[in-house]
Amino acid sequence: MSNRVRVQGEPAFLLHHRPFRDSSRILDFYTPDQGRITVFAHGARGGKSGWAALLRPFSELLISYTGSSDGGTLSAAESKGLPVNLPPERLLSGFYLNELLLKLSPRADPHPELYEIYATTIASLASADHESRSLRLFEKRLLDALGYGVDYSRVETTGATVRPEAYYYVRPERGVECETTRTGQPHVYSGAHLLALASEVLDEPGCLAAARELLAHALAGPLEGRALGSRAVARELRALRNGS
Amino acid sequence: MRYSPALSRLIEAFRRLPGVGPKSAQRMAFHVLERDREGGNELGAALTAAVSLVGHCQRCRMLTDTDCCPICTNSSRDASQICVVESPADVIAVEQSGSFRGRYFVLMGHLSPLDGIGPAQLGIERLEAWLDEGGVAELILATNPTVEGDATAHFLADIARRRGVAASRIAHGVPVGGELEYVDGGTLAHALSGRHVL
Repeated sequence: MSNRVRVQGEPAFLLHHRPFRDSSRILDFYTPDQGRITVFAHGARGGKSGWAALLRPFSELLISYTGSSDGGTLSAAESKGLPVNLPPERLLSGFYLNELLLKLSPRADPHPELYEIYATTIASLASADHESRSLRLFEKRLLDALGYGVDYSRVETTGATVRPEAYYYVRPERGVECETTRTGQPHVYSGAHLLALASEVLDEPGCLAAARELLAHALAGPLEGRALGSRAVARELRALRNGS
Repeated sequence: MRYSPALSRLIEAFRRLPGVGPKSAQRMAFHVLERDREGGNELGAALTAAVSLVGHCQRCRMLTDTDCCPICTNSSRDASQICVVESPADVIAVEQSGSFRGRYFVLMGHLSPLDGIGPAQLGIERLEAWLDEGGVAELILATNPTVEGDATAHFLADIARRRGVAASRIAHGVPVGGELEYVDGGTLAHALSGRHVL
């Protein structure tokens, strides 16, 4: 059984919230020192508590709660710095980040570097930075931080450095397996794209497309067959947009 | 203290209602049985009838026991404006403001990608078909000022614009009679960005 804890002024990002009874909410936060936690916020849906305006995803908060190591009851919340408003067209990307963290980060397992990675990605989505590039970098860094990362600059079996002009067969869970001449086949990527991903320089559209495919395969393992709702909704919205 | 089976069932049934805890449920049950058995019969009959008869308006998805709700069939209402809201309670709230004479579309929720709620669950095809019929000049997006409500409003505005229909978002900001000192930074930022020229 976990010990009773009192956490005060912990930086946190709200990942997800759902209503509970009449006026309360169940909130999933990501914090640097406690990891992912779930807390109850009594009265958070009413206008009177002042929490409704504050407890929004994507803005950094300082929260206090009492309970066990993986959550409890929210006792105080305040804004840390200026509130962040993601542009409306980027909200879906924000939801995607939140869903990845919710589904992949273990509960009450602190990863301060992952918190930093998330905060940096939110800041970059809120700025004019390239949206897909921010998402791909988050996916790569998330996998690295959780121990699923692979070195895309070296061939796993021989230790040889990946050559930009060559093509390689990549197994998402094992890394770069071997050189191949069978370009255009599934799981075959250009060395230039692999090196770009390894050094996190994703400027060209070709690099971004390869990184998107590669990282989607790499995420599938840790997701263990769980579908991502945000991906499905994004697909539906795209279909609606293209159909109308 | 144990209640008889029928009394327990009644108390448990009252507890299903929002805002009703064990004590209130017990008070309601005793009230019906001790003082108002006729009212209890009426309550039971009304509940049974409403649950079996009330469905959704074919046009706007508002709760109604006819094919089309009274607002959609009222010819004196402005058919060129549709106000999109998240729930039937929001329709009542806007109606009580007395400031809107157009029609409504009720989403019965908002986009919530993490819960898998997308356009299909919100009846967007029906709204698109309505806009495609023509005659609508403005879509007023009155979804809640939450991140999910904003995301919903954004994609609905996109749907409207593609059909040449103007899309507007209700204003967010300082409550009437409120004081700036007590308004949180996020709300105040909205109020400032949505300011209008006097």
